Amino acid sequence: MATDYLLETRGLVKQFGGVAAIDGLDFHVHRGEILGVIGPNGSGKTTLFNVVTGFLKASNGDVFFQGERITNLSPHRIAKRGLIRTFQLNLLFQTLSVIENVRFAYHLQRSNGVIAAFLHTPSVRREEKQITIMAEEILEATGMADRRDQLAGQLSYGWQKTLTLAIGLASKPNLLLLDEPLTGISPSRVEAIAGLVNDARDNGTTVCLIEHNVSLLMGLCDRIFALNFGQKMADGTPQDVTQDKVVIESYIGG
Amino acid sequence: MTSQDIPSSSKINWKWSIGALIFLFLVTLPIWFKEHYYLHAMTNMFLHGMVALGLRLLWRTGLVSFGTAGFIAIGGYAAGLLSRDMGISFWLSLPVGGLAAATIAILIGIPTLRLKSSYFFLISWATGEVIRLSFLYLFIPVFGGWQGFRKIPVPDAINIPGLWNIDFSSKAHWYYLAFFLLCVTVIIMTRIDFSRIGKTVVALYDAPDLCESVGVATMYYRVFAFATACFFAGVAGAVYGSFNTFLHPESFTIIQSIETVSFVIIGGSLTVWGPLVGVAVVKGIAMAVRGLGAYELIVAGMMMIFVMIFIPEGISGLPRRFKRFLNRRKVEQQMELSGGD
Repeated sequence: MATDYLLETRGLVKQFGGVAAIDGLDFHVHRGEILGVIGPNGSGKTTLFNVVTGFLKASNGDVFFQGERITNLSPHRIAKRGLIRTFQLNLLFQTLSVIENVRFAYHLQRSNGVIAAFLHTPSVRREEKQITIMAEEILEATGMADRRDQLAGQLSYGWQKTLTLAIGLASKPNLLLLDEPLTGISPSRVEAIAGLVNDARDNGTTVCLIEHNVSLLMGLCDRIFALNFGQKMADGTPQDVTQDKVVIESYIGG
Repeated sequence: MTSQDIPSSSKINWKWSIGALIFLFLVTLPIWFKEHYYLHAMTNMFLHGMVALGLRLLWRTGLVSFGTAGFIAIGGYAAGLLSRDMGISFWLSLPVGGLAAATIAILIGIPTLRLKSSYFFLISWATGEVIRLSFLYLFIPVFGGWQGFRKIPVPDAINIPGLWNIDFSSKAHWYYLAFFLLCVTVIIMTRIDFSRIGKTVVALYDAPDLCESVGVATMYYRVFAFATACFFAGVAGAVYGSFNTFLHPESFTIIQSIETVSFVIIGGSLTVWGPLVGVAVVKGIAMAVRGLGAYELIVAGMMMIFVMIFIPEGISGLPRRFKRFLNRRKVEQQMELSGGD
């Protein structure tokens, strides 16, 4: 039952009480693409991310990642396979500094165990230093180098959003799911963020992002998937999807 | 990093010298205070300190246990059984007592630590009571029930010819044993704090979902923190049993557990020193005012309320708060000097 897709859901259902937030969804992500997921409020975009990454249990159906079934695994096991997500509401380690936040993303890339960490062995010290250097490079790339030692909780909304992206990038995922990475970003920096997403793709990370503002996705995405009432509304190139009658209607409410 | 460290390095030395002074004072204390009363009270304070330090680790993950007394009892009874009924040396029974408490903690923690913290608090409470009542009503021929668990032997003597002979005949010997164990606990906890384990524990409190999303097995760390806390409670219990040669389930009621929580709240959980300050303040008052008895809890309770309202970071957070206050003053003064910019 191997598939060519990097991520695939088959007949995925997520019910809250009697309401199906995701209703028998067949969704897929190709390796190496930048995919935009759009849809009106409450169409199930974030729920889709939550179910795929194990933060919510699927009511029915299956999720496959790199050809393996990952349905309802715990989030950290899914993360371990290289499927990393960011959160819409700027979930950060508020009381830690910006650099400490990014350093956390290297959790899975550490080779030293817990006991070595406790004993603070030379190889742990070397690794920690290495991680700091890598984290600084990410901060440099995301334009946050001068905010390195600020507490994450004290950043503006837009910079917090950038920091969540930085954490996502630092964990070097195979597939990065970004939940509204552009909301709250100052217009002058939107292009820089889009550039980061492009760079990530060039470095071998497939990206799937939720975005409300469809026009921002036009130049960035290879493909757009439109959701409504937990079902597929449209799927295709940005041009096709934005000209789709059903999509236009659901957005304008006509 | 380095540019930040330089101005604070003199501050660190200042902190270390105070620590060294307190250490020296405690090491030499049995010479100044020969009175049994003080040595006995101090020994108990050190044991309380160990338990409170363990609880702090759990506290930092965002969880609180109200069943600590039960785990102290497990350590005490387990070590007591080994040394009294099986003739095993105290020095082996001591860590086994801790491990017994940690094992029970793991068994209880795995199903319950995924619950919301308020449910875990209730379950820990129930656990503590179940353990206490088990020692009261189960296996009475072994545990002694209401009669208590009697005749726990004292540790084998440590004899270094010509230098010292510690045979636990004097309170000072117990004092040094408890002090030594507390020092070991402090070192281990400091180590944990400064390693990535400690940082993960703090992060777990901040944003458990984000931890999971970058691949941290949050359950593993919660169970680890709970088991570690209970291990130290168990070790303290093992010493406590042998120290008194007697254990009674009624010494391990919920009141004991609440008292341990009060040490962490009053002293503060930000640093390893916090809970120790908490023990020193609460137990120190009780020691100074002899026979405070039942009023001790009233005092501790009132202090807990006061600290939670006015200094949520605990007494040990006061210097930090004072420093911040001074900094703000300095900034305000500079602003005034530069013409109210």
